[in-house]
Amino acid sequence: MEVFVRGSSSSTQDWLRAQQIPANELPPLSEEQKTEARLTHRSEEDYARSAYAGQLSQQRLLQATLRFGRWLNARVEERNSDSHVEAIELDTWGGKLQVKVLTGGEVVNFEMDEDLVEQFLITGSAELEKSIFRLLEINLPQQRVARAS
Amino acid sequence: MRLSGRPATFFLSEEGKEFFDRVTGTVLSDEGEGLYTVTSSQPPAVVTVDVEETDDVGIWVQMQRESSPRILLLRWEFILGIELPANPGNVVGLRG
Repeated sequence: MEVFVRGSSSSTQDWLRAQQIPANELPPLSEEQKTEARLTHRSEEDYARSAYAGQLSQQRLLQATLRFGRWLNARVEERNSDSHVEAIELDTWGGKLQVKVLTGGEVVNFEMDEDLVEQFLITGSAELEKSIFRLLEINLPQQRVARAS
Repeated sequence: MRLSGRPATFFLSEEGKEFFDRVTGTVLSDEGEGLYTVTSSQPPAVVTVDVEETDDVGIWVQMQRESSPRILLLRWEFILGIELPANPGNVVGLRG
């Protein structure tokens, strides 16, 4: 399974960590980033701290998306042994998870709400799990979904 | 579109600029100097900061004040406009 995170959405913890490291330990900016800093009227150090917080956030979100992807893949395989999650991508800009499932040689793409998944990972709520199962029922071809007896 | 957790550029009303000046204790220059830089001494003033979250009252932004991390509420009525890069950012990935 391939897992991707597009963009970043940094938490307060990521931002604080980025504020606390010495300026000379920040990742150097590319020319494109320096231009962006100038366009947005930020000092290069301020921009570099913000970019570093974004990097920390991306790695954290990547691991969370991987954990959810593995859990989702297990649920998909339980429903249909010839189906699996091929790829999952978190779009932080749109607030969506884009899921690509291979089922019997057919590709099925569908989306999940980022908030739904985030809350599910935090709370483990049975209600949210039910919503996720419902999305599987809606989006995977019905004839390929093994129904629980 | 989500603002939370990303930098954004805000165009501030006159009251917004006065408020920001007062809270940050910074005389905002038009030369790109200082941590929080406003590009004009006349409204609309422009400032780029990291957004913590948004709600019905306004936008909570993250900032340093005398080297101390702070959260500041910019009320919606102080904001004339918001600018963001159209590109949502780079992609990272792994195989797991």
